[in-house]
Amino acid sequence: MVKAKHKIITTTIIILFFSGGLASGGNVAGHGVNINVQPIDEISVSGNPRLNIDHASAGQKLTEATRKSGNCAITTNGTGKKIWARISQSMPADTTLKLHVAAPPGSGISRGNLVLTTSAAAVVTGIGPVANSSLAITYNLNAGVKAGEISPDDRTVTFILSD
Amino acid sequence: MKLTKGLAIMFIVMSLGMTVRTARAEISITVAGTWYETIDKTHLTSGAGSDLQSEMASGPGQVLLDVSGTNGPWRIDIKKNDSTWSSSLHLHVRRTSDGNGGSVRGGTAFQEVSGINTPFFSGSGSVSDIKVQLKINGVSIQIPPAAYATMFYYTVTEL
Repeated sequence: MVKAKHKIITTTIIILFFSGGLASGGNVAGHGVNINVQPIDEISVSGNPRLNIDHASAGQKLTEATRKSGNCAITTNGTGKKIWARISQSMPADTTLKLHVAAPPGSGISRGNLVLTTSAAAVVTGIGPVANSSLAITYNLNAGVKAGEISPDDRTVTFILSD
Repeated sequence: MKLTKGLAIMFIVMSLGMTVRTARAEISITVAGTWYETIDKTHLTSGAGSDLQSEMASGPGQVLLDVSGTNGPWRIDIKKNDSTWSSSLHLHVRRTSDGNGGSVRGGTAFQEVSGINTPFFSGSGSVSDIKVQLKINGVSIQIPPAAYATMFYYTVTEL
């Protein structure tokens, strides 16, 4: 019994040493390539419009002031993005400032002339992915007779590209 | 006595086995390095309104290859195995140095890497620190934000 056991052990060791499967390195080696694409939502605007209401026809409302000024440039690799806009402070009583931003061709829908308030409103929806540097911006100032005479004043319009 | 004889035989056999293993050198390849690239707004060609740079490259020695265990000619093939990838993204590779020792030739122009083993470059003898550069193109904002991953495999074959 002891003799047989020794033969088995010896034979096993011989087989292990001549099986030859322990090559160092090997003839194939590899490495990873990892590309991480981040969400991109970039917007910039140009233009510095001046809007004056200084004309009316007798018996008619004050003539509104409309001005195309500057462009909106956007880049997004997302989908369903919106351009939001708001103004820095409320308009004087009985006056409204409206904004129209053109949608990128084939990507997005303009919501037309929207009244701007201090709360952000979506002026273009359903955008992306797109890169466009020439979305036309149109401002419209309207005033009722009750607004009276208003000294020149400024408002900052903030544009945001997001969900 | 029989036990001692058996142990002696076993010792001799073990010694022979170790000798045989030491004398048999096999060609092998090792790789050091990997490539991580983050693509974000800094890669826009000119800010808002512009698209991403379509092409980006790693450093010239992003990956190092060593071929060892040979004095004769060999060839390295390359392929990739995608995990999460976009068919719009294309990877290329080229050799940017001759390494140390032996000799190498070919592979100095960028070539696209596919899922099929394709000859990359060849050489002779053991060579260390062969520099490899990678490049990606097809990048654009049409590629959805995500993590894209693939594996490059280098196979060395004695000729």
